[in-house]
Parts: sequence; C-alpha cells; structure tokens
Amino acid sequence: MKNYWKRGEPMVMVAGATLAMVLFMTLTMMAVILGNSLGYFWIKDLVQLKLKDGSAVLGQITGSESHALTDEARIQLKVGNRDLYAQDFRWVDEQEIAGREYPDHAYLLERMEHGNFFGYLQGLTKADGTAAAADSVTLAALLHEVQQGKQGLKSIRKQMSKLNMASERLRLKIQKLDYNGAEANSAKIAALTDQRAKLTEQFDQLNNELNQKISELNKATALFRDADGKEKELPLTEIVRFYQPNSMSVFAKSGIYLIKIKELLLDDPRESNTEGGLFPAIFGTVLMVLLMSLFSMPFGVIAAIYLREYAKEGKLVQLVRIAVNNLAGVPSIVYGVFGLGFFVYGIGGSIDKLFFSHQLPTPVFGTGGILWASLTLALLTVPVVIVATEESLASIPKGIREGSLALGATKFQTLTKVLLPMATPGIMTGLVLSMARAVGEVAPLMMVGVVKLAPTLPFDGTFPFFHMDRKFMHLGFHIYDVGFQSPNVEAAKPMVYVTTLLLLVIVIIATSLAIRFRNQMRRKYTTSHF
Amino acid sequence: MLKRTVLAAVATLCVATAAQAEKITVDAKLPAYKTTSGVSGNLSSIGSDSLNNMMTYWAEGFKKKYPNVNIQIEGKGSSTAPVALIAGTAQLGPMSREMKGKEIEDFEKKYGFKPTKIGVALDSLAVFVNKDNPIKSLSLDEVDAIFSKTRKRGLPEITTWGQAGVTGPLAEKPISLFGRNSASGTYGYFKEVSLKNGDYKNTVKEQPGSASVVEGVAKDVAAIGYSGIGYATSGVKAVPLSDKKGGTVYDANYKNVLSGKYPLARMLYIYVAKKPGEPLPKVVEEFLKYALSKEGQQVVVKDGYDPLPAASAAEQLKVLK
Amino acid sequence: MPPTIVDKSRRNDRWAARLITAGGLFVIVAVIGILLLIAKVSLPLFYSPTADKLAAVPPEFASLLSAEPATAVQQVDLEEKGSVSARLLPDNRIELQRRLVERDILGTEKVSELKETLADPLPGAISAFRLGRNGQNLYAATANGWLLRWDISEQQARLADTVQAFKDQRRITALTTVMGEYSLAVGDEKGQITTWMPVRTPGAGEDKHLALIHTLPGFSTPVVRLLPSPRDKSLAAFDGQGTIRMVHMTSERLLLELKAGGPVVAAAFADRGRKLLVAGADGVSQAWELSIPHPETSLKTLFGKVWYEGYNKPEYVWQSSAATDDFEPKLSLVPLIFGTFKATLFAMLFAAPLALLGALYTSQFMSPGLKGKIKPAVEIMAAVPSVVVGFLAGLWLAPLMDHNLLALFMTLVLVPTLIMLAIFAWRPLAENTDFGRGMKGYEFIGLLPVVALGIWLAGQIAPPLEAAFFAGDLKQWLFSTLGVRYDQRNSIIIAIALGFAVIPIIFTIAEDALSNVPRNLTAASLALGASRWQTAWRVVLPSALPGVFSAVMIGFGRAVGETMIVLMATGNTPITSWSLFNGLRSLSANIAVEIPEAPIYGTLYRTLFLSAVLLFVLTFIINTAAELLRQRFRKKYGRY
Repeated sequence: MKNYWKRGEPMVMVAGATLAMVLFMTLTMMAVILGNSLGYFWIKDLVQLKLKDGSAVLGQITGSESHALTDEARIQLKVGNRDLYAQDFRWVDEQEIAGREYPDHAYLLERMEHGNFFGYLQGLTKADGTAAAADSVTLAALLHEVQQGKQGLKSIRKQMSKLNMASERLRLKIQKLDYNGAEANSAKIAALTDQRAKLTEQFDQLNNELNQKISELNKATALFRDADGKEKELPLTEIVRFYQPNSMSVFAKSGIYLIKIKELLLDDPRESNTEGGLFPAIFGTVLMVLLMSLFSMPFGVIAAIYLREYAKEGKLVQLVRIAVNNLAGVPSIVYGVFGLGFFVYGIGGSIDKLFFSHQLPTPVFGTGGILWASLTLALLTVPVVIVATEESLASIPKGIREGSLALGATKFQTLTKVLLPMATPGIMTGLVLSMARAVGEVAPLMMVGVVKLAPTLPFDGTFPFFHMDRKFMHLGFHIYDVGFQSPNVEAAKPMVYVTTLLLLVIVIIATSLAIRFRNQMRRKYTTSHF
Repeated sequence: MLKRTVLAAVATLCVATAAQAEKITVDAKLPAYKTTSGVSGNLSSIGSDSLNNMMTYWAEGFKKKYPNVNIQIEGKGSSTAPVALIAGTAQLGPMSREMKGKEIEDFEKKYGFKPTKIGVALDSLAVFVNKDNPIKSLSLDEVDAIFSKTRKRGLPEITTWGQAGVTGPLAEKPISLFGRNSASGTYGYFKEVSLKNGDYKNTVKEQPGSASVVEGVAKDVAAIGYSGIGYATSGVKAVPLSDKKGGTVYDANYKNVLSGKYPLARMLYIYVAKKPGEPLPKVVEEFLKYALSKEGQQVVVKDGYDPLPAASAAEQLKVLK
Repeated sequence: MPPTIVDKSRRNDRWAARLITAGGLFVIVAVIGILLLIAKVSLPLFYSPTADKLAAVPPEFASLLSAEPATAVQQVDLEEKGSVSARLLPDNRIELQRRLVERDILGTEKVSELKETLADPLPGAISAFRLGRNGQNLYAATANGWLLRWDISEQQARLADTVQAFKDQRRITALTTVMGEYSLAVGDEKGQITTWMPVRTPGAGEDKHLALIHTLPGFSTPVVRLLPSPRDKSLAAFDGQGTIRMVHMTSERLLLELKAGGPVVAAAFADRGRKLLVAGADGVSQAWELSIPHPETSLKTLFGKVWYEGYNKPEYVWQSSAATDDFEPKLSLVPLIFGTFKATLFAMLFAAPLALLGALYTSQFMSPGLKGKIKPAVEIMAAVPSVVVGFLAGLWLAPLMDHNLLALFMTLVLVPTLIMLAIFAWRPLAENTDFGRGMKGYEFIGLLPVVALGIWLAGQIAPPLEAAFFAGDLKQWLFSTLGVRYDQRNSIIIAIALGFAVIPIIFTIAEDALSNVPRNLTAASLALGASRWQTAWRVVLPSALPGVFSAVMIGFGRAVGETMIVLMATGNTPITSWSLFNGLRSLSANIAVEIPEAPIYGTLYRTLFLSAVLLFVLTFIINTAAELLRQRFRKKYGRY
C-alpha cells in the first residue's frame, strides 16, 4: 500500500482524471450540438390537446419544465400559425390538459411566409374557381400544378432581370457622361435616355404579363382550419410542402429529412434568415477562405523560406521569429480594427477617390467587402503558415540539402526542386490550419464586410464575375446573428444549432486533414532518436 | 416631446382605423405596390437592430419584385446609421430613434443639406419580464428606479421584486437587469424617456441583440429587460406601463400606441440623403415606396411591429417628392 | 553545362535571395506597422488643442458680440414653452418673470404669466446671478461666498439650496451653467474656478444639494466672466487683464490659453462652439478658430475615477453614448481592463491545471497508440470556432447553471471525491491482475465514467440538499444571507467557456514541450529505479518547464484577446468587482460592441483604437516573454 503511494501511482490517476474531464467536456459539447440540431429536420408528430376550458391546441411538443415559482409541470408546444396567433410557441400547464390525441388527418404545411401551419384541410379551390375534393391526394396534385406554374414564371423573371440590368448599365453610362460634362455630351445622353425608355417599355409589358400570371396562380387556394376552428384560406403558391406527420412512415420521414438537408445546403435563407437554406453563407465562407489563402500562402511561405534557408541565424532572425509569433498571438479583434482603419477607410477610400469618384459619396471599395475581409484574415493567418512551413523545412535532414548542393545545384534550385516538394505536406498543414482558423473567426469580420443578408453572391455571371467589393454572408456570423438578433428567437434556435453543426463539421474536416498531412510527413522524414 | 406630437398627429389622423388589441390588420386604404422598370443596382442598408429583421423582410420582398437589385443589410444599432450615411457606405439608414443634433450637424457638414427621415412603422417598446412573474404593472418612475443609477425620476432605488410591488416567492429575489448595447436606438430611446437621460446601472447586462435580451429574460425568472415588442416570445410577457407612479396603466397594444397613451411608443425611421429638389436614386425611392405600401406594412405586422395608418403613410411619402 | 545556364541559374538564385529577404523583412515591418497605424489613430486623443487667430470677426457673427445682454437682466427663451427672465433689483432682490405655455395633445395652448420677487432672506449681497438655460433653475452668488439655487420648474419658485461655498467669505464674481444645465461654474475674486452640482448627500434622503465637484485651472487675479461652450462641457474663463482660459469641466484640463491684450467687455461662442469672439474695452474685436477635438479626454478620465454629473461620488464609468446631445460620454478604461483580467484570470485558473495535467498524462503515461488518437482530438478542439463556444455558453450553459447552481458546486466536491475513491478501489487491481497491468496507459478511459457518475450524482442530490439547507433556493440564500447577487451571466460561465477555448492551446503546446524532453533522460531515470510518476514529476517536468510556462503564457494571451465568447456569454457589465457571481466587460468585447456606432475619428473611435493598442501591447509582452522562454528551452535541449 505504502509503495503504491510512494511510487506516485495515484497522481498518475489524477492526471488521467483531468484528461478525462477535458474529454468529457468536449463530448458534452458535441452531444449538445448534435442533440439540438439533428432533430430539427425530423418531423415530429402533431398532438392535439383538449384543454379544460374547452379549447383545443394542435402542435408539436418541444419541451417541458416546471413553473419557476410554483413548480407546476407544463409543456411547450410549437403551435405555428404565426399569422393567427402572433407567436409560434405556447406553454400549456399539464393540469389544464383534459386529453391528448394524435389525429391522423392533421396537416403540417411549410409555407413561404409566417412559418409552419398546423391544421385540418377544409376545402380546395382550383385555379378556375371550381371546388375540388378536400383530400391530400388532390392537394398534392393541385400543389404540383401550381409549382409547375411557378417554374414557368422563372423565364419571364429572367428576361425582366436582363432588361433591368441593361437599363442600369445605361443609367451608369449616363451618369458618367453627366459627370464628365453634361453639356458636351448632351447628344449622347439624349440617345442613351431614349434607349433606356424603350427598355423600360418592354419591361413594363413583361411586368404586366408576370403580374397577370401570378394573380391567376394565386386563385388556386386551400381552406384550412386550426384546432379551434379558426379558418385560414391560403393560396397554394404560399405552400412549399405539406405532410400529415401522424400517418407518415419512418421511411417517408427520413426521405423528407434528406430533402431538407439538401435545401439547407443549397437554398437561400427565408424569413429573415430563420428558415430556408444557408447557401449564401456557405458560399461566402468558402470563397472568403479561398481568397484569404491566395494572399496568405505566398507571403507565409516566402517569409518562412527566408527565415529558414536564407537569413543568417542571429539577432535579426530571432527578432523576426518573435515578431511572427506575436502576430499569431495578437487578438483577432485588433486585426479587425486594423482592417477597418487601414484597408477599408485607408486603401479602400483612396481607391474610391482615384477610380470611382463619379460615384461618390456611394463608396465602392471604401466600405467593408469580401476583399478586405480576406486580406484582414490573411494577415491574421499568415503566421500560422509561416510557422508550419518553417517547421517542415527544419525537419528535412541537412544531408539532403548538402547532397543537392554538392551535385552542383544552386541554392534556389535546391529549394524549388528538392526542399519545397518535400515540405509540401507541412505547408499544406499550415494552410489548412489557417483555413480552419479563418472559417471560425467572426469578431474581425463583423467590422470589415460580413452582413446579415447578402443573397447576391460575390461571384456571378455578370462581368467582371468576381465582385470583390460586395459584402457577404458568413456561417459564424450567421450563428451570432440568428442566435442573438432574430425576431423569433424560439423558432430560430434550432437553426442556430444546425448552423453550428455545419460550421463545426467544416472546421473538423479541415483540421483532421491538416493533422493527417502532418503525420504523414512526420513518418516520412523523422529520423528516429534514441 | 416631438415624438409625442408626431404620434398624436398620427392618432388624430386615423381614429377610425384604430384596430383591436389582439389582431392587427393593416389599413385597407394603404396603396398597393406597383412594380416599375429601371430599378436595379446596389442597395445597402446599415443601421438599427430593431429594424434589422423588418429591413430583411422588406429586402426579401423587394428582391422578389426586382431580382437584380443587390441588397445588403447590416444592423448593429441605430448609431451606425448616421455614421454609414455620412461615410456613404449605405443609402438607407434605418433608425429606431431620431438623429441627434450632432449627427445631423456632421451629416450637413458632409452633404450640405439635412438628412431626410421617413417614418416607416410604429413600435411600442416593451418592458419584458419572465412569463412566471406575477407583476401586474409598472410605472416608468419605477422602471427608472430599477434601471438607473442616477434615478432622475426621483424614486428610491429598487433592487428586489418586492420593492416593485410583487408578493410571494419572487418578492425576495434581486432583480436581474437585461438591456441593449449602446449602439442601439432602443438603448438611447429607453434612456431618454424612461431614465430621463440618466445613466444605466453598471449591472445592466448589455446584450448585442434584442433577441438575446428576450432570451435572457425568458430563462431567468427574476429578470427584467426592454426591447421592441416585435421580439416577444412565449417565454416572456410585456408589462403594462404607466408614466407616473399611480397613473393609469396601458398595455403595449396597437390602440394605445395610436392614441399616444402607451408611454414608450415611438416611430421607427429610415434616413436617407436626399438633396432638396432632386429625386432619390430610383432604387432607394422604390424601396421606400414599397415599405410604405400595403405589402410593406403587412411585413411590419409580420415582424410584430405596428403598421402606419394610410393617412400618415401618405404623409411620409410626400417627403420623397 | 553551358555557362549561360549556370549564369542564368546564378542570376535566378540572386534574385530569389533578394526577393525572399525582402518578403521576410516585410513581415517585421508589418508587425510594427500595424501597431503604429492603430496608435496613430488613437494618438490625437492626447494632442494639445490649438486656436488660430482670425484676421477679423466674421461679419455674420458680429451681431453676437453686440447683443450680449446687460448683466442686470437675463432672459431665457424656451421656444414653444414660453420664456423666463430675471432681473436684479437695486434692493438686493431678484424679480422673476415667467411666461409658460402648455400644450395638450390636441395642440391647444394654455399660457400663464407669472411674476414674483423672490423674498427669501439672503446671506449677503448678490454679486452674480444666472438663469438656467432650460428655465428650471435660478442661481445666485453673494459677495461673501454663498451660493443660492431656486427651483423654478413649478408654479412657485422655491429656494432649494443655500450653501456657504467658501469659508473665507471671498466674493463670487462670475456664475454660469455648464452645457447640460446640471452643473454650475463659479468664478471668484481669488481667480479660482470651481463647478458645483446637486448631489445626494448621505443621510439627507433623496434630496440633492449643491456640492463642490471640480476645481479647474484658474487665475491669480479675479475671474470676471465665465462663458459655457455650446458644444461640450468646456468653459471660457476671463480675467480682468484679457487672459482667456479654455478649461474642460470633467477632465479638469486647461485646454488653451489665449491673450486678448486688454480687458474684455463682451464674449461669445459662434459656429456651434468652434469660434470664440471677444470684444475688448478698447472697441477692438477679435476672433479665434478653436480646434479642440477631444476636450473630455485626459489620462485621468481614461484611467482615474471621475465625478460625473448625476453621480454621488467619483467612479470608474464606461457609458459611451446616448440618444441626446447633451449627454457626456464616460470613457473609463479601468472597468474594461479589470474585466479583461478578471475573465482571463478565472479562465486560466480553470484551464491551466486541467490542460497541464492532461498534457503530462498524455505525454508520459498514455500508451503510444492511444496518444496518436487523443492528441489530434484535442487539437481539433482548438479549432472549434469561438462563436460556437460563446453561443453555447450564453444560451445553453448560463440558463442551465442558473437552475443548477448547487449541482455545480456539488460536482466540484463529488467528482474529486469519486476519483479518489476510484484510486483506492483500483489499487488492489492495479498490480495484481492482468487486467490491472493492461490498463496502464489507459487509466483515463476508466475514469471517464467516474466523472460522468460524479456529475450525475451531483444533479441527483443537489435538489434535496438545496431544499434542506438553503430553503430550496441557493441563489436566494446567497442574496439574503451573504448579500451576494448571483447573475445569470457571470464569471463562472466565462471561466468555463473561455477555459474550454484555451485548454486545447495550452494542452498542445505543453504536450509538445513535455514530449520533446529527450528520451534518454527518462530512460536513465527509469533505469535508476524511479517510478513513472517520479520520472515525470522530477525529471521531465523540470526540464520542460520553460516550454510549459510558455504554453500557459500563450493561453493567457489568447484568453486576453478572445472576443466572441466574452461578448456572447457575459452581460458586458462594466463592473469592477471580483465576485465570481457577476459579469464583466472586456476590452475586446467592448471594441466589437461599440466600434460600429463610433463616428470615424471621433473620441469614442479613437478611444477604442487606444484599447486595441493596449490589447496589442499586452499580448505583445506576453508572447515575447513566452517566445524568449521557448527559445531558451530550445537552446538547452537543442540537439532534438
């Protein structure tokens, strides 16, 4: 026994216990995120509660707790129908409930606006005004028809969009001519104005056509009622999808689950970012990170090569190393402040003055944008690349360099032909690590170009394709925004967890890749010690 | 004071349309929005967080009408609007309070003319407590005594719920305070009206968004917080308010907002840089018209705020001419 | 090889060397450049103000000088609310005349005309008086050093204050109200300038009385005139010889000293306080263009306690903005610096032991195969975005802890106890069974369920314990028995969340340092019969100490600058108290919250840049120290 203590075995256990605690915390975090997000797309059954006061409530059970002061039990229902009840959620005291049932024919509608609708189908009206049988099959058929019709509108919208764009281009031309001297260019201006008027006419025609078609589509409606008998007539164009959760099989629910995940990844957000997809945010995040790597890679690698291969070991190199490590340790918010003061107001403002003076005071580059955000983050992550590259260069045995030089290669040739290929995994590690850091960074981005809503992507089909001046959406900021600033925070919370999971998955994949690369490299070059 | 008179004017314009307490319908006389051509380009909005979601909803609707309008919305607080308008980073400056003299002065220095404000919605700023809080009503005097360290309204400090008139198990509990960060117009407006420009206590938890104020109050039975009524959830309730202690209390409903009786009612604005005698850029003008149309005001209701009556919407539209 | 190719490659080599050197040097320049740029933005806060003398008084403002009212009558125009005027009668009394207009909500006006002579007994002859510009107060001063204040906001004027301002009975020669109409500036025959405001005195209940707050840099000769700036809480003070001093009330700074060359008979601010005009006794008028961008900032207001208007004592206050103009920004960096250190300290107390012991275990005792899996897992943890941690801490952990506070404390007791029990229970198995020996290097896996059990048990026994000892509510008990307020967003949350974010950083670096200790050292120690713990504790740890220390420093640096977690999980309350149960506001979160609203190049904007400089310098020092340590460590064990 005495020996056991003397040898310090219990202390080993204590050390092990701390590790266990750290792991436990990590697991808890993952469990919380997974638990709150994975269930979001699963369609829960609809329960109808009969209350003691005679009213009825239809909804999905989302939580339960006890009254903070009296300890009475109660449950929280998502009752939807925001347009009827003003709130999506409702607390019901257990003791007020007289009965529960799960009606097979209860509908759940996903709508374009106002969130979900829970209720019962009462009647259907076709586009020509005639009534149709009020059952799910007919509803599905009619809905399909309407959605086909909606698809048809797309081509008109596209045409309108083209006209509009042409018109805008003309307007800018006129503005520029006007700026350069309204009188000298008056003939040109008049011609362009004429041209523009023609486009406007075409646009109006199309617009009328579109409006007519929309109003025709809107004629097909469905009449629903909620659990209490309140009726609501909905145009079918408003309905995204409907189902009857209580009579659905697990298989059908899984299908919907997958469809919704696809929507999440590929659709634009709706309803002030609380519904719909995350595509612009995913796209913005990825594009920003790629742009950032374009800036941070060359600088990082060159700086590392300088430090390791070219600089003479001495005070200066030591200073640079300290500087680099300091850069890595500077709070990201400071980079944000720097980016705002230097890139946005400094460089951006000057660019505007030089090249876009006819558009002032509306700034082009003198405001936050994806370019400035990428540069700011590049500055933030350059040290990571430097350190990783340096380390991987350092781990290449001296003999290889000497061999190459002995064979008559110059230093530069040795570098490009021998050392860099060998160091590639290490450089990649640095790059991926810096990407992971950049994906998760939010604070500096808030200052230099991330916005709540920017459905127009910074990359599209119109010249010059890359719009570096545009603001963009970002997954990390999306979490902050929806979690702290959405109008309907209860309904939005699952969305936040889903976004969190997505961000986490991206970061974890990136980091794991980096670690794999590094391990591969280590295996390849480490000479065994001992 | 000015706000009060604006609201009073609104009230007299539209007594007939004052709707019921629970369900708010938009004024049928509001004009429907008509799409026109030549609307495209960039539209950038920076400003109030209270108006952030409404701007986003409007942007969604507007983009449906004009697919190649490129809209960017940022909402970190009303104080960001003048800064952005002056720097030219935004064409629309949504604000949940009026511009300060200094801000107008800075604006004038840059542009040579005053900013134009357009009222786009009504809001009743609500004082929220946890849903389990039995409190029936509060006066702004008490609210000041709860939130302020300078207590310009003069009541002695209130630190527990018992001092605010609550009995039962909550009475002994210290009040936990939630508020907005200083960039928000809600922060400024609440400070001006409830605190008579006094200072907040250091213990007011400044949250970076109204939603997190509501979320904080929903999760803490002893909490109190303020934000726009549009952020209400099932976890909180809005306390009926009176101005002076012992005065008549009013719910934060549409009727009381229109009549000017609810003490924390305010107008929400969008500021633009409009040169006198010249029209606004088309895309900005159309956006504002859309916001003040029937569809636009339906969005206001959807977001939980109060719509403008037709007469005052028309009044606001006149400013655009 | 043809010589051209050799030449070419040599040339390439030279160019590459130059390019790469330039790139490397660019990085150093960048670091210094960043600091300089941020500092450059914040420095103008401390520039001295300047004044340019204009050639002549601009004609559009000339009328301001002639229109200065006679000293015996003062009138205030309250615009749509009417007007007030006061007149000093020859019999040492003040006559007050008021025209008050009230408007009801429908716009009908009710006008009342009030005229009264203030009949209160006075302590001396009135030497100066001042009508507040909002028509709420009337101030008077006597030739023997008394200050009087009448509250005229109601129908009847009421003498609210009679204060003997100066015991030496000096004559008060000038009075004026400072912008905001809360403070009163007093100039006397000894040349002293003081400001007074109503303060709640202890024991006097809710009533407020005038008290001396600030003493400003004055003259050696009597103050003859005080002129408040319409822009901020500055004053222009004049002595009898034409010396003009611009002083700021709150910062007590002497902003400018100007010479008019002779006695001044009239003075006015124009152009919203940007120009100062004076008319001399010799009939010559002069004007200055003032440039005082940041009058309210001084080292004292940034880092010292300041007595602000409406406060009962000097305090460190951060309250940066409001919806109205006469609000004075209160920009004390002390609560923010305090908050930063408080958050960092608590987080490090939580994170450092866990991370270091965990690293020690991983590097020394864990089986190599498992180490290859655990280490990457912890490294991945380091990549978890802080916005995720902040969100979970604010919206999941904070409410959870709010409801289970006792369970948390129970966890702190139960988990270690259970681990100790497990160690005891393990002992007979450890050396005597195959299973026990096989578990060497895997112990922590066995401990995972113990930790989970401890937490579960804490959750189970906390409610009955709470009911038995704390009347069912620990937070309530803390408040009513100990007077400690428990806030939902508190420092415990920050400690856990911020700690969680820095654990992987400390862990990774420390583990590297520990693993890099040459194997021959450990081998020698083990060969001499030391146990694995003795080797780790007495041999490995001391050798790796600089590396371990630098790991802690780097973690510290990261915690200091962390923004999103603090922003989302605290209430951002600028409190200076060490209590674990209330929140804090850190420098970094403060920047993130406030910079969007800060008008570019305004005082707040520059102050925020100043706090960024502070953060930069702080992390610079920490990181440099850590780096130097690490380099020393490398030298020591340089062979590997």
